Amino acid sequence: MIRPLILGWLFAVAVATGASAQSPGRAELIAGLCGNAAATGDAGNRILASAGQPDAAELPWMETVTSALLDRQLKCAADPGQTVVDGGGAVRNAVTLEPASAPDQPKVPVLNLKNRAVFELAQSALRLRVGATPSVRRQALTALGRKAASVPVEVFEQAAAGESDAGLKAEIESTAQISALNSPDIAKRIAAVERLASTPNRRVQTQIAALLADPAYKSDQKFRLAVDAALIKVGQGILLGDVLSTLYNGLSFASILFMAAIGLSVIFGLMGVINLAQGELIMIGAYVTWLTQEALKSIAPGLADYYLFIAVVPAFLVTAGIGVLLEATILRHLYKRPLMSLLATWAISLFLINLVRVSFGTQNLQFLTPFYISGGVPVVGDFIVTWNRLFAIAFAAITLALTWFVVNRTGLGLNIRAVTQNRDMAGCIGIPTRKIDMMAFGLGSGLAGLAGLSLSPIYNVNPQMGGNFIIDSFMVVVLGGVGTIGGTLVAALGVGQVNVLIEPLWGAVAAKVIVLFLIIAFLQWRPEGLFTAKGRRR
Amino acid sequence: MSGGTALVIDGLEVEFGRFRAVDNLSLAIDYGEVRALIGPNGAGKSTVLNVVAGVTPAKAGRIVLDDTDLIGLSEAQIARKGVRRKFQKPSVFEVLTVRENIELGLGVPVAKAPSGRIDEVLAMVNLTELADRPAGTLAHGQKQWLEIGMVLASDPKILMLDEPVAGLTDEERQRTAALIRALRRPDRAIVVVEHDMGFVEEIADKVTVLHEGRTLFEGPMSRVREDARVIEVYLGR
Repeated sequence: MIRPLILGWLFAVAVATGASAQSPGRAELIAGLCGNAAATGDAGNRILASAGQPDAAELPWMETVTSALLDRQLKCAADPGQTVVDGGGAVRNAVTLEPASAPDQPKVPVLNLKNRAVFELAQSALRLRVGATPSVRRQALTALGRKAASVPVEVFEQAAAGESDAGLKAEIESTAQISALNSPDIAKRIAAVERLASTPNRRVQTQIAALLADPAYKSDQKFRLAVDAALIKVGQGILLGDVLSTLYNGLSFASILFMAAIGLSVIFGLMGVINLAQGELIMIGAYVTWLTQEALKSIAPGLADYYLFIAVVPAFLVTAGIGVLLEATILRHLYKRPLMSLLATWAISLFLINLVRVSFGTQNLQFLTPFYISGGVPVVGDFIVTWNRLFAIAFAAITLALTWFVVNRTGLGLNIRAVTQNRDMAGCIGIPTRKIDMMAFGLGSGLAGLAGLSLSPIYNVNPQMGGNFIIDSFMVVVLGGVGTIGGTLVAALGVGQVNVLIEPLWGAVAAKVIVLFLIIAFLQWRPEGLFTAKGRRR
Repeated sequence: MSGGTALVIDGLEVEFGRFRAVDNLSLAIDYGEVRALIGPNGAGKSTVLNVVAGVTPAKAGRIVLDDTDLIGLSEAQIARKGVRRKFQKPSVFEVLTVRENIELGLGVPVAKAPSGRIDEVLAMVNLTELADRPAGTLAHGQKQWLEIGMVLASDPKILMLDEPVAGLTDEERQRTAALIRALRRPDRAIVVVEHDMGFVEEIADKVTVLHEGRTLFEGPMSRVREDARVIEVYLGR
């Protein structure tokens, strides 16, 4: 009878000793948390330091007490072993986290500002390691990122090693570099500086530049060299990024100008009709795109994201149809009277604006932002290839290719070019000039519709939007030389780039004015534009 | 069809404002012949071609091709009935290539035209080697030939050539004359407006002399030179 009792006693002792192997550490920490400000701060720093230890077993406990302290749920007793966590609907012993009863007259420690910052950092560090869901961990990382320099680099290293979410892992690693900059180990610091310099952008530049004031910059030559080299490399990267980014923005602006102008170029070039309603055809193209999106939402919600592709056909056909109708009913009778056709197209533009205003209202239309045009890819420096601009550029490139094909490689295109050049001769060799006029007007109008489609994810779509484009498109058409696709392209690229180059220096309005003056000066010198189709013009 | 009357112009009147360019002109042109229209400046030669081609409206009269009245039809409709005309000043499409110019002249999509027709026409007007050059880079004479090629491509029933040798060298003139003679066919009527009497003599079967919008003389070339009125108004000067 005695032996089992003894064994049981021994076992109990062993268990108690095992438990107490960690308990003194825990108890000591709790005592610190319940102590005076200095003791509390000391405990906070110890927690923060241990957040980077490889063994994560103790971390959930630390997270619990740290959060309890921050939320004023830690109720201290004179004996740390009696201190409880009173929150989450239960009272638990702070050391063992087993149910317990609250002590009499507990003391609730209040953190001063300095200590609160330490504990908040510790809490985030712990949550980054052991947070239950990726979103909790991501939140913790964001909080840490602001003060990455004061977090031990091991926290990030361990967190990255244990992270299962690939995206989050990459973010942790990038934050870790910033933390490593301030690591006590100089080799680690140099490595971090070099790693940072491999992804140059302005944030990195600020971070590395801050090291110039670091004592190590003066005392350690290797560190100084590393920082200087990194600054040069980052500077170059940023410059390259800025150049590319300007080119990219210019290209995207140019693609929009080109889309708006290409239809006008066909119409103006062929018939000499100054179509002031072209902007409104762009607007109608955007509205047809919106209608397609709405129709898809109600008929096939799964396809709604692809409305930008599906709307290509209706946007082209509807505006082309309107163009053909306008030509056949109104403009056909005014070809010999340019002023009248100018006024007539202006009237048409007012009519279309008000028609849309009455039927749809004046508010901006709401467009979905499909996944394929949201976000972008950082390339170098601060240069990010944004998908929506890339979409506009690609769309303009495809339109350019198709228009070129239609005009240069099809029978219709050959007829259009012939009529553009010499209407009488074209008629005499059997080209139905009137029908060609109508089809070319339809083509030009349809291209305006496509312009509306490609603009809709970037610009505000409302009944007045057309007016913004008509001036720009005329600028491009006249500069490029009437009726040449190549001229329109080059003029759009030129105007787009010059605009984007001037904008950061003197602002958008000044850029417009300067570009306009440049074009006027250019036309004084070459009134026929950059490229001209030779031939008799009426 | 061969040998029958191709084009009948009956009582044609054309006025520009108060100026009467063509005055009650009647003319019949047969298939298989080369007809020259000559006359001093302002006699109405080019105007007649313009009216037939539908460029200029007529005030009165009829123009009948086979059994169809051409008055009131558009240029393109008339062209598609088989009437083609070459302008006085070369009116080729300068930015298009020589081949594209001929292709336009076909009047139908390339796929529907007889295969090899373009090459055949290019060979006929001696421009095969220049087929891919822009027409604007051709010499004046080559442009004249190209334009003949354009109006020829569709194999027209009525071929109207307005001063085809204006500004050409003697050698080019000889080649043009040979070309026009080679174009003569029993199912085609060729009308040539020309100042150059030597050239007219070489190519024309029959000559119509116009003066102030009227027919002054009609007959074979050999007799034109003997006609007193013609000598007075035209040759004599």
